[in-house]
Amino acid sequence: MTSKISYFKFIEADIRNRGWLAALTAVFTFLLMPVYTMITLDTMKHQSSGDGQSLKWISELFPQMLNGTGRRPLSIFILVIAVLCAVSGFAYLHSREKQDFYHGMPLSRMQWFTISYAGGLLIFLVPYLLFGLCTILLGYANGLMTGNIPLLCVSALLGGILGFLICYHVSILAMFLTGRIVTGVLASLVLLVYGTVILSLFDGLSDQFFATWYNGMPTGFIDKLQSYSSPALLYTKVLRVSTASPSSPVLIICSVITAVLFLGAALFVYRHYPAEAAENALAFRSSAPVIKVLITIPTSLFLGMFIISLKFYGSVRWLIITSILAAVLLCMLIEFIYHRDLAKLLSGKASSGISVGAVIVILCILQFDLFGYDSYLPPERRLDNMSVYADLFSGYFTYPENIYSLSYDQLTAKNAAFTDYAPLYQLAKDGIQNVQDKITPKTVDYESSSYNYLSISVRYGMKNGRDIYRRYAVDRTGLLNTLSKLCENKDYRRELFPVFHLDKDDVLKVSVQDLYYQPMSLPLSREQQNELLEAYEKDVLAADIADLQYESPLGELVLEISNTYPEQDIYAGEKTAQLGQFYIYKSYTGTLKLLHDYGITLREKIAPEDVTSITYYPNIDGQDDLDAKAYIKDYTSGAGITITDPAKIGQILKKIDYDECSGILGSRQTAAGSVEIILAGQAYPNVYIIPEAR
Amino acid sequence: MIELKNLDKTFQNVHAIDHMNASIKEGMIFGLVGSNGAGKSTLLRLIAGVLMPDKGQVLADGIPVSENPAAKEKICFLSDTPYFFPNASAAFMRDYYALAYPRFDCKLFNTLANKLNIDFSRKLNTFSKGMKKQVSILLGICTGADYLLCDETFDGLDPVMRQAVKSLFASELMKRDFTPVIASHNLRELEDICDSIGLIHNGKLLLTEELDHLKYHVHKIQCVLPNEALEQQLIKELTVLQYEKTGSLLLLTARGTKESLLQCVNRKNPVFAEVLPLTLEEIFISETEVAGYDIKNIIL
Repeated sequence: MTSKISYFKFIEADIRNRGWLAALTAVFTFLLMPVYTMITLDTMKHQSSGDGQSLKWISELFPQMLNGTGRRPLSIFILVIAVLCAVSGFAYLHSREKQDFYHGMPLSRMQWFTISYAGGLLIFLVPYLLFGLCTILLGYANGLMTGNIPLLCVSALLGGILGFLICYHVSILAMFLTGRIVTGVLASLVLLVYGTVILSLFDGLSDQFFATWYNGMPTGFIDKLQSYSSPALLYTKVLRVSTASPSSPVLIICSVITAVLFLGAALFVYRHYPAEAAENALAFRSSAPVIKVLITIPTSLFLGMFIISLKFYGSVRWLIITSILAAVLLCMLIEFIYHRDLAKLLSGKASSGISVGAVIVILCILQFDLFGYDSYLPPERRLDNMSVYADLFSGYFTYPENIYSLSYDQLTAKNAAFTDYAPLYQLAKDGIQNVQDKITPKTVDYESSSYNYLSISVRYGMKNGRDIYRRYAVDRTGLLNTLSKLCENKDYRRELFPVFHLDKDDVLKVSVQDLYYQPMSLPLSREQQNELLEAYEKDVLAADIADLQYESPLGELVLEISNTYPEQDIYAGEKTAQLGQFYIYKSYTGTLKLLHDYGITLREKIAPEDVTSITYYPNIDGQDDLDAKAYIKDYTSGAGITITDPAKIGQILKKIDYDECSGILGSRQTAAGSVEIILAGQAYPNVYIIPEAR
Repeated sequence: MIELKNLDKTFQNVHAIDHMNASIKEGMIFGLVGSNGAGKSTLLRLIAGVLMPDKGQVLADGIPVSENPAAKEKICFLSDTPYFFPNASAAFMRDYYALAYPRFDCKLFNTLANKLNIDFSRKLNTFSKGMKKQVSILLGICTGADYLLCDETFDGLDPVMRQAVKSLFASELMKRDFTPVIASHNLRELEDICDSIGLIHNGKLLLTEELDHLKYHVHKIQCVLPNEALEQQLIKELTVLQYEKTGSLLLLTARGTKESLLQCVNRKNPVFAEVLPLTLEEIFISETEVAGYDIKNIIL
């Protein structure tokens, strides 16, 4: 038997034989860890304000420099090195001469596996840990190792190693499943991303083919599965969570299990690897048709989606054509890879037929909606509650939860769920009818026939606990009526309006802006500030929803709040965030009174004497603009018209409103043109729209 | 002794080794002959444990070879295309083999390499094909393995070097338990070195015999007998492998020692009679024709 000491010498010889890889790893690890860190720290220090808070932010980011989180070069490098270590370590399996040499020697396959595996691991591990340590020392030298940062650095290094192991084991398995280096590398890539491609296809194809598909399901099974769907995604996640505090033990455990499973699978396959597979595309010939089918179907659909992502109009038609064409070509390509013989491009007819046939069947199911996805309306006996969210809400409301992380989802909010869902159910029925009339969320932005419709997302909360999501295009007036009914519920109103999402203690400063678009800061005490916000809340609760659509606000409150997500803005070093769109209407008497008490009166019109100049730009596409052009005789296409006549200035100033808000459901008014007004004392003009005559 | 027990191996649609049962005795040089694609290399790779059999097993001195380092230590396989690490020198390969084979004789390797003028420091990828084969053979001999499996080893060696290698084999045979197994498609090459021969065709081992035994017990007879009745009588009395008549000259290939055959012919009062030894090639042609094979397609 080979003695234990021999392992060390064999591994040493193995690393020596892969000296090029060891050198490459050492050089790139050096460049991407200590050198890149020095450059980044230097840049960050120059760009930040340099105070204690900035240093804290930089130190919180420092662990990411040890495994490539948020820094693609290092994370890509770790992945590439993992693949290279696997390929170079086990490439001997793909050569008959090398197999005769290795497997002819008095060592078992397991012993050879141990030697090559350990060799590859050490090629990565030694420079990674060495330069990781150097990077940590750099952190100490820059005073970044405070609090739990040293622990996070160790965690980041371990995360990098775990990420490496996931990719390394996947690539080793790929090498054992194939008989040529090229197919080994391709198989590595396929194994690394296959699951994610399948899941993204599920989302992407549904989005393309189903008019009512909602792609933001927050708690959907697919969404939950996405994080664990492929080793590549798990790799990126493990890098991220290893630098986060608190970390995600579930994800770490899943990553360890994945790495172990792939290693186990690799060992199992290696034990049965047929030596005669060397220089064949695949190790196990019987797997060839299965692999062909498994690759061709998703890849052709993916290629179809990729082609239409290049902005081909009439997209679904092109998706179908290109997917089928891609399936045929892929079948031929795979047969060529298998045989390396052009004469055999058309061999494997059964698997080719199954692949192309499956693609056609999938496309038919989707195109003709054979399962009735778009027309599905959950029966009321199974329905517990419903909620709705209009796309245009995002233009009217800004929720504090969404400033940095887009974490707020109103559809799942408890107070937005209606068990008395009759108005919403009717809205959904209208939406389904609209789909049948070819008015869908996809057409509302593009087709003039859908102009008075807008997109909504609906959540059906089923009695069995499952949530079903759909998107519909519904009539604006109908939605406004429904919204008015829903807003009779105060809890819903509190959910809908962002002012109720604020923690008043987070509000650092309040300013107000009116038609002049000049923010006026309110030097209020905390009590006054809270009083103002409470008055605003009362006004919002009492507001008529129709006013929010049809009426022009007088202005808006703009709040400065604490930045609770400093890591998102490290370079700028911003500690606060601006939150606007707290519109003030005429009916908001409480707010207006308090503002008046604080010395602010919102102006409803611009005084002509405040105007230095006005330039009018007619909307060149509208019929009304043609009238406007006719009215203004000296108009030349494309250029603005400078208006100096005080009478005309007065006329224009009468027409303009506070137009930063287009209504709770949008399209409050249609523009006939726009004006640039330079106010006295201002260097830059304000732009206002001139609405169409109603 | 290497034993092949019901050994079977199929590659896709090719039945490379067909339920083979045979044994290779130790202490002699075994020649494995067969045409290209007959299964020689496959058999050697199976014996060396490189390939895994579909069925059956290979035993080296009673120990299964497959995935068994203890058994594989007894065997060294020299492939038809020797592999050396990129940028490796003869010294590096020597040290590497020494890691794998506990009985590797570094001194012997150094001595023999010096005799063959092999430069230790020169990279092997700069060596000629023949020189690489020399290094490969030296490495194989010095492993101390009991069984040295040589696949087309003499290809690429010049005549002088062939003789040198034969001498090395002979020398090792004298010193220790050593059994070279040499696969070749060239019978003439093996004739003067092998003690025992196995003929492989279409994955089947048609025969394995000691060469001396083969040569001692099969001869060619040329004779002219007085009449046809005597000719028929002679053919009946002998175990004839081949029969041919040109005019009155009768040509027979028959089993038996030279003396016994001559005695038998002389009893028929021949006008002329002569018993001649057969070349290895002729023996195989006769034997395989008896076995029902079209010999022209089997060996060169």
